[in-house]
Amino acid sequence: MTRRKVLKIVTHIVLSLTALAYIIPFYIVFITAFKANNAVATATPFIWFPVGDQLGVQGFIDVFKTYTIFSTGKSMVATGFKNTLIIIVPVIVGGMFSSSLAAYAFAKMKFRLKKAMFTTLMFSMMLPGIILLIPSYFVYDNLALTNTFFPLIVPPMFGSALGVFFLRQYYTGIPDELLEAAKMDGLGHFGIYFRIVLPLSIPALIAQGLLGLVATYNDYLNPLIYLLDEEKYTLQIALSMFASGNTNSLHTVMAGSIIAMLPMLIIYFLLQKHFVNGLTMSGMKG
Amino acid sequence: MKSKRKNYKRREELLGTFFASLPVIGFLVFGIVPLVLSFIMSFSYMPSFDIRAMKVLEWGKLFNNYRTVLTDPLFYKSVGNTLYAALALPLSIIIALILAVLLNQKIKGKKFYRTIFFIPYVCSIVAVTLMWRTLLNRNYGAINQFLGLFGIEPIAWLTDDRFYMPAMILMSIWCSVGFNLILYSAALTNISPTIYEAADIDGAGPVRKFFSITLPLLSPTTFYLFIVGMIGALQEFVRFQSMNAVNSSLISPTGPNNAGLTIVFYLYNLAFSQAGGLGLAAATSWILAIITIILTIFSFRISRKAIYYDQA
Repeated sequence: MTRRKVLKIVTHIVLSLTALAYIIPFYIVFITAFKANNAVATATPFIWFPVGDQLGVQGFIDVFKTYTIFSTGKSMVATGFKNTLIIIVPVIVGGMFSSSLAAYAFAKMKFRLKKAMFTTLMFSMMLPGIILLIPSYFVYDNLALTNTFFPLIVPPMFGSALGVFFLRQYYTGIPDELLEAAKMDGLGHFGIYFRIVLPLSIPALIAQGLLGLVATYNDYLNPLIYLLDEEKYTLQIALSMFASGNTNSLHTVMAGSIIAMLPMLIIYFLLQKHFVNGLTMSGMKG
Repeated sequence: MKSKRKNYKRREELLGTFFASLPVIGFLVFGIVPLVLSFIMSFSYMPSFDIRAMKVLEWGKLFNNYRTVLTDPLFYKSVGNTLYAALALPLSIIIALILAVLLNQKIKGKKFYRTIFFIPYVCSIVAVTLMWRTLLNRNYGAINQFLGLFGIEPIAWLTDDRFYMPAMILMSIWCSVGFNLILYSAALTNISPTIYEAADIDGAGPVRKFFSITLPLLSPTTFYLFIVGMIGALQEFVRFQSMNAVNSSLISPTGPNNAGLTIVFYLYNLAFSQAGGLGLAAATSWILAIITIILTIFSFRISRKAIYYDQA
């Protein structure tokens, strides 16, 4: 019995120390963002609990006020956020639609090319993505499509192999009798997909969509390579450029960080269960 | 009636192919085309980004791009750095495994801990590097303050080439533990409690149970995490690029004394900052792909002996 107790105490010590290693960094970002000025933010020793006039929201004001696009004078962060949204909406809606339509066909329909097409998708998952980086840029550059949203929006709208696999798994679980009954009632394949399969798979779609949302929102490499003009920067690129230009005002940079992280953090805390579902379902097929 | 059914089948044939076609077409256009092009590029002389200036090398000089890369000391430095950075993977897997096992007990605050450890997954790489730049700061950074408690002098993590990589590994572990933990936790809940009950009757202690039951039954998950993590680790780049991008005080763009130059960073620089480097970059990416494939096959070979597949 005592041995069990010792084990429990050790468990709690290890877990809470690890949790501190996660909480403290976020606390530092948070508290630094709310410091009055750079001198307070970068003071040595670090001020852990600022009080009185050490506190302020100047950082948040400055992110919007001082960081503007040179040609238009508009806020860089606001423009970045708008650009990110412009990219995210078609990527998620289009990508989910393409993936789920294909997943339905692979799960419930009969056609001759099924096996060949499925194998092709399998192969696509094994391809190390980095090989495609340089030639893709090269192609877009020669088509004058760099510095546009095209390379960021259009390819993902065709759906992803991973999404197809995940959703197919889910659709296979829908009983055939249900689809047969719908057929009897005169529904075609479009009808079955839109009226039965799609509504039934909303939890799976949310789980997949969330993973895509986080990945697209946080994407750094693609917008970094393809977008050149300040007006076209996504939020993440805007933040990165802002940070590299403002090494001297730490509280402002931390405020920018918080603004950039906040939307996904809110979504995560609200829909945590779906994240875990999406990851375990698409991760464990291996 | 019969013709109607035949009609239906033909419709299904057509519609099925159509429904399934979008991701396949996407892969052919945005995957296969660049793949083939990349192969040709790696054997071509490419003075600029203009496709009209691209010329496939003569027969005798066909492997020139590969030769140039493979004789460049900087390339080997980048390979070494990539493998060094990959140390984060086993460490992250071990930490995640320990945490998952601890969290698999009946304890308070389970959900809270899981939520906390997973947060980095939803944070952007830029926000995370900015956070870590602050933590690693020589003067006011929390890590040096913590080490100071033990009397350790402040370390210049981001400007001293001996400490740059350990700092990046630490950050990488911090980011990746949550994901590994989630998959381990899911696998742990699938282990039937009766196995542990049987072990209890046999008088096995917690350590014995861990090594004789938990570890073997989790080995497929471990293998999956290792393979996916290894393929990702070989392509490590974004963390290093963004740490440099947000850190204009760094001496060199690739970290002090190129300590942060990974293979992909090396080929990225060839493509985008060196005139005429596109062909070399394409060759480097094929070398990387071959390294990846060899290591993957090697891992599968080893795994055949080490993995315990339970489901009969």
